[in-house]
Formats: sequence, structure tokens, C-alpha cells
Amino acid sequence: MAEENHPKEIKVKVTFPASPKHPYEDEDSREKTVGTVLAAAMLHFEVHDDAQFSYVLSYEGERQDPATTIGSLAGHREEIKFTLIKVITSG
Amino acid sequence: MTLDRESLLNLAADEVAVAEFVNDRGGHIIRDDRVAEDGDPAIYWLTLQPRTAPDQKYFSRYQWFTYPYEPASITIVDGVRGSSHVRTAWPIIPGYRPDSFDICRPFCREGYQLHAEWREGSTAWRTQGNPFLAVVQTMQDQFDNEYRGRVA
Repeated sequence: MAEENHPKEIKVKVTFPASPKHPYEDEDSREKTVGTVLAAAMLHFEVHDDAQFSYVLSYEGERQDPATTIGSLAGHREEIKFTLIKVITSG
Repeated sequence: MTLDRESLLNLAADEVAVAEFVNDRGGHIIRDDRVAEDGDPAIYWLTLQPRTAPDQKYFSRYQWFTYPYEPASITIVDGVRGSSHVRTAWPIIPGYRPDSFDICRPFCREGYQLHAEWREGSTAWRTQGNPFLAVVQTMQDQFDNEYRGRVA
């Protein structure tokens, strides 16, 4: 199966330009979910959901379901880059 | 010139990442004084396209007043140096209002003028990081995920 040829670990990078902090970077299992990466990135950038906003990870312009595994998004790639997006729920 | 020197330097530093971001997504950015000799360096023209409708181009005008300390005035226009009062230039996206030709969202001058309460708390304008890129990424995300077509 092609899936078995993928490296077990994948480099993850999350950028968030509204923060002065460096991007969140880690090496994670391909089975890790987007939701787990999102939680770690939000902790890194010191942001949290509230009544006005929620945060999502965007990959290639598409907001990602927290249940999706990062391996399924990355395919054969050894690195995956997300953008942390502040989604406005008010107004 | 409508901007102070510090703002011009800050914008020059941050626009590099903005250009890289929009170019990667089929968009474009140009500062007004690079469009014409009498151009205003406080103004940028952005072209964005929705992920789901790459044949559709939308133009926006960003005017900064003091950067990064205040949000830009942002409106949708019908082209670079175009009019901001053309309904069909507008996308159908929540908060984008083609009837009043403004964007009612907490990332632009017009939004904060309409909702004074947005100036406090988590909706307040943030000056850290690269606010220009943060706003452009927010708009691109809305074009990519909340876009419902062009106003007829």
C-alpha cells in the first residue's frame, strides 16, 4: 500500500501573522488530527475562541475539519503548512 | 503623501510577505505610487480570486493612515484605480455590503466606525506581527470559504 511508504512523522508548520511570535513548528505522527495541531498552535500563539471569533486551520485555502488527519492532507509530502485563521462570527 | 515616514517604512517591510501570499494564490498587489507618478503611497490595490471561482477577480483598495497603529480603509472597487461604487464589483460574502459600499468586519476602518464596541477586547485592532498580512489573509479566507458569487 502506498500509505505504508510514507514517513511516520511529518513536519508541521503553522503561521499566524497577527502574532509577533515565530510560526508554530513540530514533528507529528501522520495520524495526528488537525484539531490536535490547532489546539497546540493556539496555545503557542496564546489565542482562544470567544463569542466573537473562533480559530481554524487553513490548508491550501480551505478551512479544515478538526477530525481530519494531517497525513491524509499531506499525502506523500514530509511537511505540511497551515495558516491559523481567526474566523469572525459576529457582525 | 498622506503617510508619515515610520508608517511608510513599516508598510514597505510588511508588504513583501503580503505580495508573496497573494501571488501564491493567483492575486496581485500594487502600491498606488507604482501605478502612476501622482500615486499615493498610502494606497494599495489588491486583486483576489476565490479558491472555488478562480476565473473571478475582485479588486480592493486599501488606504492606510498610520501603520500599523490604525486599520486601513478597505473597499471593493471595479479595478486598479477604479470606482468603489459599482455593485457588480462586489462579492457575496457575509459582512461585505454592496448597498452601502463598505465592509462591516472588525479588520477595517469602516467596521470599527460602524461598531465602536469592536475597538475593545478580542475584536480590537492588533498592531503586533504583520497586521497588513493578517487582514489580507482574513479577506482571502473569506473569499475562499464564504464566497457565494458575484453581486448581480
